[in-house]
Amino acid sequence: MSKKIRAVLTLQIEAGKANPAPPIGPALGQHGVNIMEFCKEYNARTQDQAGQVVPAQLTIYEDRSFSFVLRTPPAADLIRKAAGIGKGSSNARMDKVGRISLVDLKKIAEAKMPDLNANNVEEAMRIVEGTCRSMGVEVR
Amino acid sequence: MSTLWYEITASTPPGQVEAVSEIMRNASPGGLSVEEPMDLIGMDEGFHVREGEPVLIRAYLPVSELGAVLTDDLRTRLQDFPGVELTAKPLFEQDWSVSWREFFGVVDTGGRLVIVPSWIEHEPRPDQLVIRLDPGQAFGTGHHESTRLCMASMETLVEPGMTVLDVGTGSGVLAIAAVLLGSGPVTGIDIDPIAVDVAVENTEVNGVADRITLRPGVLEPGHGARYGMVVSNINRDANAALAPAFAEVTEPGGVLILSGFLAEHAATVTAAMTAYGFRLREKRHERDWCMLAFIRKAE
Repeated sequence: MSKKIRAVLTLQIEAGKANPAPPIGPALGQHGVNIMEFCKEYNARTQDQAGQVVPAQLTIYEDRSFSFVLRTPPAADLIRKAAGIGKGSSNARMDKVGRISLVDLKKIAEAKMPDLNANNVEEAMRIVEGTCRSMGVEVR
Repeated sequence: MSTLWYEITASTPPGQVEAVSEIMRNASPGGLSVEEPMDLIGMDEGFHVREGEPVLIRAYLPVSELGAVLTDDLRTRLQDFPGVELTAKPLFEQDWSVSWREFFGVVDTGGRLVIVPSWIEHEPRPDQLVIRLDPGQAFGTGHHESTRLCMASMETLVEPGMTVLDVGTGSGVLAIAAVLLGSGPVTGIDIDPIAVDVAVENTEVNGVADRITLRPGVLEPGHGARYGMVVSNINRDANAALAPAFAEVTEPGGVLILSGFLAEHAATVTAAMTAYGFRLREKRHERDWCMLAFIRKAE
């Protein structure tokens, strides 16, 4: 069927836990998207990734039907895993809470390339490094 | 008094989206909504991101003591990002699980066919044909001009027992309409397997599953069967490219209904079809959208 696009947006939500509360309710409700249908489908498609944030990029069509694709987890989640830490620093400038290697940084940048606004791996690495800094994670 | 939320929007330079999202996610455990600046390419199923422009990241915090603490913490932590602009607006709690339904009512195509969502009680007129259909993951809710235009034309052109092929069936709405209008067996195909699942469900809800065969795929040369009517609500370029295939699958004297393009592109589509032995029979439009019905000339 013809697909005339009305809007595109990404929801960063936890796998298997989509529900009509914010952000999903207000973000999709304003476009008249069938929220329960989205939640049901998102939860079914992400049930094996529990505990991870799995972004969903939704395309909403002019007749308010929709489709969505799943994106890679946020860089911060991948950094936390590589550094073996539970959460980032609450004062990133003063307190360093962990460290990852340059090899880890490159791996994360490569994994995130499809979803980052970067022209090459080096640029992606700089973006991921910025996320490390803001979390109090050093790169060595 | 409804609970209030604060919708906090951070207008963020593209290179800082990952870092700022991480900070905002800590304050907004339910998650975030991220909107990139993009140009929608209306006709051709696409969009492109406007590079270099700020991305809008939205977090939702309850208006409470905890919310105030989280908001302050957010402001402090985002001080390291001078390019980020924060704005906040209040948002009343509502039952978001059903509030989206306000956008949907009964779709009256102007003829006998009406589309009614499951949550609406509808007492049809004696001559009305009711399609029960909820909006979801497939195009074809009836809330787009191109769908309604096809339905209006089908009302006059479907003949009893006529076989029908619905190309790009989406929600299956046109396939269901064909059966209700008295057609013979209907085949629906769609490139998107999720749409096919949705269409199967809709044919079951409407009690016509035994009359409609649905499968994922595209219309290709060598399709094999011929139909009394072919309906294709896709877009201008896809329809034009399918002209030889339409000629192959439409019986001589059969009907071809095309939509999904603007009235200004009617001439392009008409030229593509007449080159393959179709004669224009009918043209309709609603707002900017257009529907063309052709008759396949005898061989």
